[in-house]
Amino acid sequence: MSINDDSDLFWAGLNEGRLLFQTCRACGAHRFPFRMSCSRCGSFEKDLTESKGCGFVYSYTVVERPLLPGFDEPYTVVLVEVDEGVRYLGLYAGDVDPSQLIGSRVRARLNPDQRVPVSFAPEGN
Amino acid sequence: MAQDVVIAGVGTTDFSKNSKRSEHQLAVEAIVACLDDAGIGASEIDGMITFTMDETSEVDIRRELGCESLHHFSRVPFGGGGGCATVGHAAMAIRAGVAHSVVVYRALNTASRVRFGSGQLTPPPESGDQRWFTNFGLATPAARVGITARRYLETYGLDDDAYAPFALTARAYAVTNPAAYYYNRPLSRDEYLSSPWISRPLRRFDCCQESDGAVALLVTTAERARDLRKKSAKILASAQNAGLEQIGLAQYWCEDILKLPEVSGLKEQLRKQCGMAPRDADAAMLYDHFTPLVALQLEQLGFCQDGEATEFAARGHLGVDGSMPMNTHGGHLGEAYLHGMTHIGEALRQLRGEAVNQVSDVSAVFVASAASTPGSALMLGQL
Repeated sequence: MSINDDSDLFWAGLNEGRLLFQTCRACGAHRFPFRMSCSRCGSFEKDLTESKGCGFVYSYTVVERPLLPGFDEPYTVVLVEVDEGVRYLGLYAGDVDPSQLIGSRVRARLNPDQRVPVSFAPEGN
Repeated sequence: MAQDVVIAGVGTTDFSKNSKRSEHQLAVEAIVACLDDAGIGASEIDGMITFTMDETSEVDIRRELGCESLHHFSRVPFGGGGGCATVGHAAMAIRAGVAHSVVVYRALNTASRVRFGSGQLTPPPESGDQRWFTNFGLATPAARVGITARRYLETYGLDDDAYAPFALTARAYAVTNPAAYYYNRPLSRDEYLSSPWISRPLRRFDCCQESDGAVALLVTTAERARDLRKKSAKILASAQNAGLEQIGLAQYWCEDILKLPEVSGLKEQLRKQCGMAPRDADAAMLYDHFTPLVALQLEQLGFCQDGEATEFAARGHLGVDGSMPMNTHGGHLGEAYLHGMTHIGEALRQLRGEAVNQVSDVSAVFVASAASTPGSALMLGQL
């Protein structure tokens, strides 16, 4: 996916504390990552919609090496399917046993100033 | 009826962790070895194809070799996914009549120069917007594959050591391959299990090597090949395919991340061209950059049912006496990582009957450059 003006809108939203996805104005499909047009109906018309950030963990990995600059311990990255039907990546901020992580409910926290600006914590925390 | 096209030669350099020479030199060395293997002079070469990621120059190489003419030169995008497509594009150029004998090659110093696993590589523009991964903590190919690998284990109720048979099989083949980096260096199950985590559930030995070296293959007409001293491999079919929702090394935004539409699409194209399924071959060379993606390829290409690939490997089906010997040279895990080009060379050796781990009665070999990027594949047979 090419870098374009549409993708920049996601990062701009994040800086305002909003976790955004695109909604196709023609067919209503929700989509992320950002792009110009809808792969379902082809329309270029779309709206920005804010996700509530609540969903379940679809999968995860524990990154051990190499670590991102600024990290000195392994960290868990989760792929989360939010209730609006799109998937976001983010850091996992919780202590659920890894064997119970997939399928567990989480809620997004946005930290625009951090190296990884999206994290997910267990819902209810 | 389209003209028959073949792979008539393969040449490689040594495979190391520090070649101490430029990729340009490696490419030339491999091409010279390839022409020698085929028994064709450089003067006959009129086409060259490599990867967009390759950092050598076709015209510089032509100058070194002294090719009299260069009518066709083109490059294939998407890294390792382009491996088989370099041969496929060469075949198309030959069938179109714009070239007669085409050298395809890949030269890489990824052990000593830019390590692909470091997270420091600047990917080519066709890889798309990497911020969707890197900004969320997935800086390396292994980390991205880790997400898919975990989902696979969870979906099918498998243990964290389920991918071990792929690593152990590859290393067992490498033990008897003098060209392999891991020649004479077997990997035990205990060593595999005690190797460090890279990105769970991937251990070090689930990840391919980073290597220095080069591979070249010669593609020419069947008519020319009949006069050569060595056997050639006939290109029965060649396919290239991309998935709709594909971004870089991940399919996180497909409905089911364990389906690889770009891979299953290759299978359908091959069937249309030559009527064969991958499992109709006598041996398979699959893209083994990460063991979990070998499992997915085996399933999406129809070698086994969904969820059964690790058991398929554990039962020895991929061994030299198994039902589908796979990566008999040791692959990226055991021999060297050169964007799948060694796999095509190994297919030629198997068809010639000169492989170090020779499979008996080989009439067709399937090769996939299904690197979880847009990919390509070949079905090769006896001329």
